[in-house]
Amino acid sequence: MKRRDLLKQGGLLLSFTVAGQIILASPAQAKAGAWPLQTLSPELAQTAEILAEAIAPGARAGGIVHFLDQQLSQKNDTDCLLMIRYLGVPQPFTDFYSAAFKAVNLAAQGRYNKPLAKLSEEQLEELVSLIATDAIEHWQGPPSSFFYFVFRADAVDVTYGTQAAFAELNIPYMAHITPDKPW
Amino acid sequence: MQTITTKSQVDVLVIGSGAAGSIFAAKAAAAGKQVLILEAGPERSLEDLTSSQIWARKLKWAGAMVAEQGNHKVGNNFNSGFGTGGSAVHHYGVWPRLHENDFNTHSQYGVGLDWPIDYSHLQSFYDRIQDEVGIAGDHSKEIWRPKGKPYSIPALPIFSQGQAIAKGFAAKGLHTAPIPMAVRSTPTKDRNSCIFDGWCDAGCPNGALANPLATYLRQALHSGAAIQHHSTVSKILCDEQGRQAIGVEYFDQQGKQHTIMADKVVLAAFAIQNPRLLLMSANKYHPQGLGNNNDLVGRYLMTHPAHTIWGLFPQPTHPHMGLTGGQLISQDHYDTKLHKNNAYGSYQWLIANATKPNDLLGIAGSRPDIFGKKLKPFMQQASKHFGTMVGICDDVPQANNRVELSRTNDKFGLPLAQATHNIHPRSETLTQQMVAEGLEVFKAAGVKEPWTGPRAGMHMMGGTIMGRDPSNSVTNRYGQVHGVDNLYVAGPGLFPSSGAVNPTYTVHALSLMAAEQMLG
Repeated sequence: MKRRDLLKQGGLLLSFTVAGQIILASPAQAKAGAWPLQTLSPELAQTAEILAEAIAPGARAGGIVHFLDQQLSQKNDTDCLLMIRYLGVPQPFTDFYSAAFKAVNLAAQGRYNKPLAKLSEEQLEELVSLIATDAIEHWQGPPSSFFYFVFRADAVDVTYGTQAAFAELNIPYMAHITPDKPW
Repeated sequence: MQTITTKSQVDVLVIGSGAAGSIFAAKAAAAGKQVLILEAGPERSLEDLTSSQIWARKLKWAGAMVAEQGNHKVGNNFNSGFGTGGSAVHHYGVWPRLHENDFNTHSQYGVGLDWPIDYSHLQSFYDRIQDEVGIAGDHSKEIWRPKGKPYSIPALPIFSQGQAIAKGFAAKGLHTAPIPMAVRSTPTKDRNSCIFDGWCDAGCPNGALANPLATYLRQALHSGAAIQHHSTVSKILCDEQGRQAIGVEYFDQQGKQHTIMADKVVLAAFAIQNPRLLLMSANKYHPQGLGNNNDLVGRYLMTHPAHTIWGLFPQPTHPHMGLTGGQLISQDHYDTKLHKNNAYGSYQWLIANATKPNDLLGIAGSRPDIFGKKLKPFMQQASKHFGTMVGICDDVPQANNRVELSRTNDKFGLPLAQATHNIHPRSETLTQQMVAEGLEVFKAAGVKEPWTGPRAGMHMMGGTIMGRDPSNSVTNRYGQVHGVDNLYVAGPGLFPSSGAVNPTYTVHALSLMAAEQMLG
């Protein structure tokens, strides 16, 4: 796929490792191609995707899991593009996300007696609301409202922060320099 | 670009390539001095400033972790930059001057600390920087403006968001004026004029906004200064009597340690790293750290308490366009620091900031309580009708708000900085009064249900305060460290009190004054 076509699709191009090769693509493209993840386990990736979609519908198709995985896989601290980098959380950020996703799964099981993936839409909405307000009993991760704030920003990034998302909102992007390459 | 090898000697060594360090480097290089700038972060040019709120995060601090505590943290990782041009690469170009009453708060109000200079000392340096850089504004509309030359270039235009909010101020009997912006409204041969696309937070690649890449760092490099990236200074070295700085030790990207000697050392690494380095540079003559005989290094750390007001206007506001720093300013109450209910300080409003959908200051971030099915309708409405302004208050300087060395080390084995900041009750009361006013202004402008968010720390100041007397300050008025007078501290860390305006213009004026003194 040509870079111009990719820009039309996503506008946020990152480098992904696929079959040993580094490929430039948008998180949405990586999601559509089911490209392998580097850092997140399948279980935590599923949690991330379900939760992100519940917070910001469209985040799944926007490639939230591949966006998060790609950023958490950066070897250099300065290369991370997640908002968490300026919220005072020590590196590595993978520890923060992993602990939080595990706590989400435990909270789903503890409150509804079933895994996150089996929750109804209403239960998922209630769970997100409880996480956002620090109202989960026996929460075992980083402060849940803070995690919600951080992860909501990630979901919003892929849903509303790309050129494609601007176009959907009918906002002119007006780039000086188009985000067409990894930094 | 010049290459300096280990153990070489330069005339002027500058630590940090941000706003303050760049002026020192530019003026020294223009005077024929051999200048080397050591920058801890990566190399970056105007061409790297990608228009995206996601990519904008690359400009933020990514150096050694700063452990923060207190009820009003300074927000180092958000407020600091990393790489060529430092924090000023992501600054918004809002350049109001401090007022006369910001310089003598202890004498006039019995609060905080006096500066060793008053406004009249700094006025000519403000004027000269204005001439050199170009500030767009309309002095006739700034009824609160301190003395100074009229702005050198026309004010930037006011768009629909600014016009909508200005009606609210007028309805409440308050005034607005175009923000004095260090942004070109007219082009020069080196810099383009602004195109109002609202991407200032991601850095301005066309040179309209006066970041160091477009102004003094560019001048410094043109005049022969050299810059070396990925160079983390670990210690300032002194002579055998401990009275003169003779050079620095630093680590390169591979963790290899180097030494470089210098006649003058300028410490311009911002309000957290400057005191960290002074404390790490302890020697037998300065066992508590350079300039720290009176336990003052790191103290009086400040950040402006800031609150944002948001609302949805009935009319379209085109919030994505304009400038991140805003379009209008209001300082009606600035010259009164004593308020009802014992509130203390000045405050200002920066009105109609360009806002994109995502990121901390984005549209979605203004309502973190909205998620799920309600998010998209909100985003669709807000992306057309959103309005915002931010109020910035004085921060009462307090000795216990400070930078200290942590027991935890960074990757080079150097102690991390630990920053503590709590808000003074009188500042907190002022923020509450300011927020109440802001909500009323938005209602008067036609917003049915304006809202606000949590208090945030904006900008960082103090930690290496200047003063008249070594017993109550770290440096003199020029930033010369008491007891080590060829070591200059530069930047907002010198401020003994914060005022309530964005600090970058004052940093430029102070740095020009000090650089000229250093060069004789």
